[in-house]
Amino acid sequence: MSNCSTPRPALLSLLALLALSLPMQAEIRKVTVAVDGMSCPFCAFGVEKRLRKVEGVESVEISTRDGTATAVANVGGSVAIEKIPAAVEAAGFTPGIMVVEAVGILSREAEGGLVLDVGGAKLRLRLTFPGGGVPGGVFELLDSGAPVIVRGPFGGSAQVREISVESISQVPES
Amino acid sequence: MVATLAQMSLVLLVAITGVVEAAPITFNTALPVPQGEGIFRIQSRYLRSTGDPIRSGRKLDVFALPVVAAWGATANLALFSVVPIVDKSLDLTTPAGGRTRRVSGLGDVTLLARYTAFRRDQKGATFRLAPFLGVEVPTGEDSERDSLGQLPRPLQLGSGSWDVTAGAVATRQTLAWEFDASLSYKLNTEARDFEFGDLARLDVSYQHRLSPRELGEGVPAFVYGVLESNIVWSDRNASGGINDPSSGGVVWYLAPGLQYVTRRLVVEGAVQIPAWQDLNGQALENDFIGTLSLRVNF
Repeated sequence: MSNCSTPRPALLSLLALLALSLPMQAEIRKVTVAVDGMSCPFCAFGVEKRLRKVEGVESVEISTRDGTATAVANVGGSVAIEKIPAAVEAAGFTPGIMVVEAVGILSREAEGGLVLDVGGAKLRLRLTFPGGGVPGGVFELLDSGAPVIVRGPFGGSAQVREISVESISQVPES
Repeated sequence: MVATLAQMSLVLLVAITGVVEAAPITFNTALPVPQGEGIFRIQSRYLRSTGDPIRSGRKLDVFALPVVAAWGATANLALFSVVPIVDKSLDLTTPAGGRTRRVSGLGDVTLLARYTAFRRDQKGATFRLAPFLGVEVPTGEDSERDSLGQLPRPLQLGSGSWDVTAGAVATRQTLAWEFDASLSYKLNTEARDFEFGDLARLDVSYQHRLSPRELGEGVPAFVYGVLESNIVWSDRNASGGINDPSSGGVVWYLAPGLQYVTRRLVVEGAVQIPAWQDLNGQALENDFIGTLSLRVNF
């Protein structure tokens, strides 16, 4: 958990209005995927080429040392996260864990859990927190109704997508 | 004299088939070609043979420029085509004095399919096993002539026959090193009453990352030191159904080399030096095969 911010109550409405007017308020901004088997520079280019073809991807950064590829969305766009594993497979490698950076609106499920609605990606992500407890600052973000950035490993089933939250914060005004 | 000229066939087969198998430097690899993407490779190979056991002054030079295109049909199926341009030159002593017989042009095109049948990927490492099957198409001229008459079949640009290669290659690659091993068999068929002997190869390659010592961010270029071994066995050629006693045999090459590998390019070079040769009859022995190669991801 990091970057939990506590907006002043008096500014909540204004911040919410400003944030809602931002063009990138609801999207998968960035996906970092583990690429198992990628172990030379020449192989890395194949992964880069296949990821660049995924809908919404503007640029791709590879780390040979870490065995990861990071797909970054174009301005105002959203990475089609569901297509990332297939792209890695098509490059001839095995996709591993995906860490996403998603922007969306927090809401509470009927069962009481928290979800992030990522409108740009038409995706609803259930949030899970390491240790099980929800940090207090998160409820303030929920009450504010402002767009938030959530970062963490992506998982769950085809029916219920989840992010194990590593960090969550309000979208900066700029 | 024609019989004497035919005795260099193993040397020539090694030169051409070595070209056909594309990577690490002197043969193939099991590493992937991404689906729908291509890799282009151009090699220049120079072979020299002066080891004439009958001391008749024979000297053979072969320069080959194979152009290899690889295409990922699926994530596991890669298709290769190899189009070689070949120049062969044979110096020999005749009763009329020294002569050179030379031919150059398009050689036999090879089409090859490789399927990754087994794959185990880990972080920064992979192991793959891939059988392959290829056919050599008789696109090279096989009835070239010069002032001395028709060139002997081993000196022709093409074999004239449809020949099949089958084998398998295994690759273990980590961020620090790579090991490849390939076993293959080439079944040569008859054309115009001549049949080259079948060919079997066992190739292994070890590549060790020399630079950078420590991996940094992004995709740094790698420099590998390379040591390869090629054991090539060839059966005797047959002409008119009769085996040529001075053809075929076994050669074991050791090939030290270097590779410079970036995201888009591989520049590499190696020299195959015969560590051991056991050629039949009066076959011409090989001095070395030098290879320079450029691979491009496109």
